Amino acid sequence: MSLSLRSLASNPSVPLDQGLIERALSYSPSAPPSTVVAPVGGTTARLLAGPPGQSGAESLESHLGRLGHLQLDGGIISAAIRDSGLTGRGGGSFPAARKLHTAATTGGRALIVVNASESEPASRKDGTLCRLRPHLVLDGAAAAAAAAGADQAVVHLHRGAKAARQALERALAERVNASLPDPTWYLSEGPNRYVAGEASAVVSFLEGGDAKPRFNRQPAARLGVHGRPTAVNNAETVAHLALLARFGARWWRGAGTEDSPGSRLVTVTDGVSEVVLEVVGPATIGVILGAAGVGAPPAAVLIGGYAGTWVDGDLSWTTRFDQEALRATGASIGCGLLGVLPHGRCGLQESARLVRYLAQESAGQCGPCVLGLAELAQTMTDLARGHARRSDLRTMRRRAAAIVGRGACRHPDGVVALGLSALDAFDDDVARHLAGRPCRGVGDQPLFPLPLTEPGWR
Amino acid sequence: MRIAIDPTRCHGHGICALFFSERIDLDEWGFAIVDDQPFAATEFGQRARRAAAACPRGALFVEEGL
Repeated sequence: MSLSLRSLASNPSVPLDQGLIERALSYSPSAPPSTVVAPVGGTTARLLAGPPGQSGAESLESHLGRLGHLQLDGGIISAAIRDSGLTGRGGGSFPAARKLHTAATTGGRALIVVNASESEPASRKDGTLCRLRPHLVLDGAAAAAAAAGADQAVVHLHRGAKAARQALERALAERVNASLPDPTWYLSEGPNRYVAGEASAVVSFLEGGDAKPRFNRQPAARLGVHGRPTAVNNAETVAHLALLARFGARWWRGAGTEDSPGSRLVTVTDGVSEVVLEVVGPATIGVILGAAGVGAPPAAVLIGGYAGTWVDGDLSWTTRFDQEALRATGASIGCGLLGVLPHGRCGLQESARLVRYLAQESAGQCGPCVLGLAELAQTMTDLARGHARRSDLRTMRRRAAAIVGRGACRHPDGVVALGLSALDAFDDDVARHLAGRPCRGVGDQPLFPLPLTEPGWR
Repeated sequence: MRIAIDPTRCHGHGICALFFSERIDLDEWGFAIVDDQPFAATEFGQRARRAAAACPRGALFVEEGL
């Protein structure tokens, strides 16, 4: 496979390194599925209840036998979603009820879009749901359609998600054979790029344009695909609707915490493999990591996604996994990713790799993002290599404040947050690196997968 | 009234900052930093409309009735 350096960087001013190229070659998008383990914080799984992961996709027969049929009463479903307090599970945490209500009450033909693109390279929760519980996702989309008064629903994936696509296609065939009162289904596949999974990028793609985030003066729920009120919801959010619509808000709120109600899917990754778990009750990050096989507090935990936040390992171990507790540490649930940095790895080096990757993944539309993230990547790289000075970090902090909020999407904000959190979480390393004594022998290959950027935006 | 920017359209020409310096500044790379806080149309309305009209990229827009 011939590989030109140019193909890796849409932004040539972002520094590249051999580690990035070598790891990208070894990363396989169709890697073996992640493991699914028992629920955390409680005894009864919800989304992941049913046949074990090894059984593959749950059939329609098993699904209906276990859960019963779904009554598609738009009014009852809307009320249940409103009373539940369900917020988006894609990272945005937007109240689902408000989004669907906006789509329902704005004039025009509403459209449901299930966002199963899961652009976070290490996140596996949405792919797992599509692969193992496709009927939860599809029931949920039908429920969303009923709530929004829509008769069409699109399930949007990234190209390369073969197992998820197959499971969904088979599930759709089962439903058609069973003549379920579903909306008209559409399956779409977009480019596998980090920002292509952003809601406005999905809308743009579905209109026939590039899968790049757009600057919108109106939310998609008001003005989306071809001007139609479009509710774009994460696949897990939609799966929750399937249960919520059947068993009601009070049952649904029986899981999770008062501040962050409902169960949540989490992906724990140590860079080698991923474990998907369902957190059904109050649980510390330590308990979640323990359930995934992490025996003791790691050096640090990356919380929320690649454009998330590092938190010190000991601190995160005892921090409860809910929005309020995480906010106190400067973190956020995001897409439910928990990335484990083992002792013996350099957090500054891994952060520099992540920032370089994320800078390259910019859609390249907004000056502050393209130029700001390139500068950030350079500074983080210099710091990782022991070439940075204290004044460089002061400049970095000043620039960070100037970049945030100035892109069409939240990508630059997230990357900036990651960089700043690295300076805080790894402050001991920062001091040594600034003194020209960077960590040595701490890993030639990136810890977390950094896939090759797919060319093109269609 | 307020003025706001579509960041995907801004190419850093900088004309806007000359016409409406009370609300528009340029960052170190020349891209517009727009303060979108509301103002009275009678106070800055003319400046706002002029800045928006002068942008070669049509990146700025003025919203009235706020």
